[in-house]
Amino acid sequence: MSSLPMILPPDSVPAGLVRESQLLHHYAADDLDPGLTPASWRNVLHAPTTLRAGSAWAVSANGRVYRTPADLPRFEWYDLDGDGILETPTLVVEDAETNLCPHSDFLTQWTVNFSATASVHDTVGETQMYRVDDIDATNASYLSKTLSGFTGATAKGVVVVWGRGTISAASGAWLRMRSITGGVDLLNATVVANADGSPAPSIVGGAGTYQGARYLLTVAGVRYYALYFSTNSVTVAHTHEARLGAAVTGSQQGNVYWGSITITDDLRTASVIDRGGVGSVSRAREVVGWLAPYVTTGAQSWSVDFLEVGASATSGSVLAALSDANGAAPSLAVTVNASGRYTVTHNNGLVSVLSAAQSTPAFLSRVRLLVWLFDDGSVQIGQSVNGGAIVMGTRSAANTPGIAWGVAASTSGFYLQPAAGFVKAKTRLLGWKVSGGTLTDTKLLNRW
Amino acid sequence: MSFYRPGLVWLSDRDLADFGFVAKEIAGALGSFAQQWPTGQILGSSGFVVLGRDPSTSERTLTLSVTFTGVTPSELVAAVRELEAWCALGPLTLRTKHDPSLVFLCHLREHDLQVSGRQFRGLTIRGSLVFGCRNPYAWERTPQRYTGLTNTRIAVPTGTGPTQMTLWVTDAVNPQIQVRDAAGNVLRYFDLTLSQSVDDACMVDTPRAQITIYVAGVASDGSTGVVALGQGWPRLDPRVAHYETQQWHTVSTSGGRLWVDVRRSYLL
Repeated sequence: MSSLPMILPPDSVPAGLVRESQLLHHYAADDLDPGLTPASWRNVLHAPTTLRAGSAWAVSANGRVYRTPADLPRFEWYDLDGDGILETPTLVVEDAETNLCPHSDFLTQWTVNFSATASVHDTVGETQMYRVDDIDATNASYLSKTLSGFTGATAKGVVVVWGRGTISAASGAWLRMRSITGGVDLLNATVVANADGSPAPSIVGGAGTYQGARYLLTVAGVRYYALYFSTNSVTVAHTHEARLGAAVTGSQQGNVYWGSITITDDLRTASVIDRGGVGSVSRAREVVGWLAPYVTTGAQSWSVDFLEVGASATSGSVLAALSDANGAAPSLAVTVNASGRYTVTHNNGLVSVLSAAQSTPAFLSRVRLLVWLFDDGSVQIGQSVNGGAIVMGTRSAANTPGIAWGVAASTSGFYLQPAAGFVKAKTRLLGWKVSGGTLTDTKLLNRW
Repeated sequence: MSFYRPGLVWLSDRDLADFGFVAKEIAGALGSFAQQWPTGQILGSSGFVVLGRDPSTSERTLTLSVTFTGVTPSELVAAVRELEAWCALGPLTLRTKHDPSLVFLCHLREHDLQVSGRQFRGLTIRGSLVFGCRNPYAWERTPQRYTGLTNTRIAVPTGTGPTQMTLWVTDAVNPQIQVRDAAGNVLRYFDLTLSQSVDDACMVDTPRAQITIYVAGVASDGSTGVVALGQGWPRLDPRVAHYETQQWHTVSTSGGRLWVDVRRSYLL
C-alpha cells in the first residue's frame, strides 16, 4: 500500500453552513441499466418509465450505429475531449421524426449524374459507408435522390456521414439540397479535408448553415464524421433533390466517403434514422421519466447536465419537466424560448412565471443548467457552457404554488419528455439531480 | 477556523463536503493488494502446482483522512449519522479527484473521528473514515457499449483487471455467442434458444449469470432452457489481450445483432 499525497489545500468559508442537499432525484447516464435506475437508491420509489413504439438508432462507443428495439432506453456516446475515443454515454430522448430521404443508406440506389460511381466501402453497424468516385474530367458528377413529403415550416435539418477520400479532389466534396421546382440550392456545402482527416465544411452562397461535426470512428485509416447542416428556405410544396458529389470543380476528379443521410422536418436533425428504402422511415416519440409518488411541490434546486444537439434551435423543445405524465399544470419545466434560450417556467395551474438563460449554447456544447424554484414560487435559471462560469438569469416574480401538482397525481414525476403537453425533445442527458430547498451559495453550487 | 473544500471525494456521486468533511489524504487508493492462487499437490509430482487461474484477493482498505468543518460535537454526530445513512443505502462507490473516471466499490467500515481542543471554544475535529473494498479493483465509472452485426467480431479493450460484460442480442434466431482471443481462437461460446421479433431483445448479464428477455420493452427472466452453456459464462481476461499492440478479445454472434456493454477494472 502507498499513500497519495495531500489532495488540495483547503480554503476558508464561514462556519455553520447548511450541508444537507436533501436529494430528491438523481439520475446519471453512467450506467446502461435498461431500468434507468436512479444513481442513488434513496429515490428507489421513483419508478422509471421508458416508452417508444418502435425502433430507434444511436451511436455506440465504437462509433457504430446500432438499432434499439421498442421501449428500451437509447444511449449514445460522444467524444467530448477530442481524443478519438467516444468516452461519454448520454441518455437520448427525442420526439418523433421521419427521415424523408429514400434509400438514405443505399447510395447504389441513387441516380447517377454524369460519370460517378458508388460502392460499399465499409459497414459501420446499421449503416454503410460508400466510396463515391467522380470519374468525369469535364463535369462535377454526383448522385441524386428525389425528396418529397416535406411539411411544416421552412426549416429542415440534414445529417450525413463523411470521410476523406483516398484521392480527394482539391476543390473538395459537396452536398446539396436543391429545389427542383424553384431551381435553386437550399443547402450547398463544400467539404474539404484537413490534414488530419477531419472535415472543414463551408457553405456556398449562403445556401444553408453548417452546424458542426462529430467524430464517429476510424476504419482503415479513414476517419468518419457526422456532419450537421440546416436550411431555412424550404418551400414544402416544392420537389427537392439531395445531391452528393466527390469533386466541386468539374474538371477535377477524386473520391470521397459518403454514408447514411438523414433529412427531417426539424431545423436540427439530432440522430440518425436509418435504413430507408423507397419510402421514409420514422422514429416514434420517446417518453422517459421517473415517477415520484410523493413529488415535492415546494422549493427545490435542479442541476441538469446535457449535450446541446439542437434543442436550443427548436422553440418549445422540452429538456426537463416536473409534471404528470401528460405534462399538465401545475408544472416546473425547462424548455427553449423563441430566442433559443433555455427557460425555466413555473406554471401554478393559472399563471406562469419564467426565467431565461442569458445565452444560447453552441452545437455540441456541454451545458449545465441550475434551476431554482423558490418558496414564493418564483424561479431562476443559471447556465454554464463547457465548464465556464455559471451565468444567472433574472429571477422571476413570485407565483403562489398550486395546491395539486399535476392532474394525474399518480403519474407525477420528473420527465425528460412526458407523453403530451411538452414536445420536441432533443436531449442528450448526462445527469439530472434534484434537491429539496434552494441552494444558492456559490460554493455549494460549485460542488455540483 | 473552519474550512470547506468540495470536489475532492465523492461517495455514490455525493460530494464528501456535502456531509461537512474535508478530505486531506487517502491511503490505499494506490498500490496492489494480495492475490493468492489455489495450489495443490498432484500425485506423482513434487511440490505444489497452481490448480486454478482465479486468484483469491484480499480486501482493499481505503483510509480517508478528514477534517470536519463543523464547530461542535453535536454537529459532528448529526453529520456522521447522515454519512452512515447515505453509505447504507446500497452499493457504495467512492471516487476521487485524482481520477474521477474510476470508482471503488466499497462499504463504510468504521470511522475514527476525534475531538480535540477546548470543549466550548476552538474545537478541532479530525480523524479518518475507513472504507473496505471486498472487490479490490478500481472500476470504470462509465461503461462502454460496442456493437456489431451478425458474425462481426467486436473487439473489446480490457483493463488490467477483469472486465465485466453484459451482452445484448437482437434480431436473432438461436444464435451462438463466441468469445475469441486476439488471434481468433474461440475461447468460450454458448448458445441461446431465441426467436426474436424486431421489438425484442435479450440481455445476458454474465457477472450475475442472469438472462433477461425483453418483448416490446417488457422484461422477464429467461428460463434455463434459453441458454446452453458450452464452457460457462464468458468473461474477458486481460492476460489474453495484447495491450501493446491494441489487440483485444472479440465477441461475436452467429445471428442477429450484438451489443457488448463492458465495464473495465484496473489493478492500480
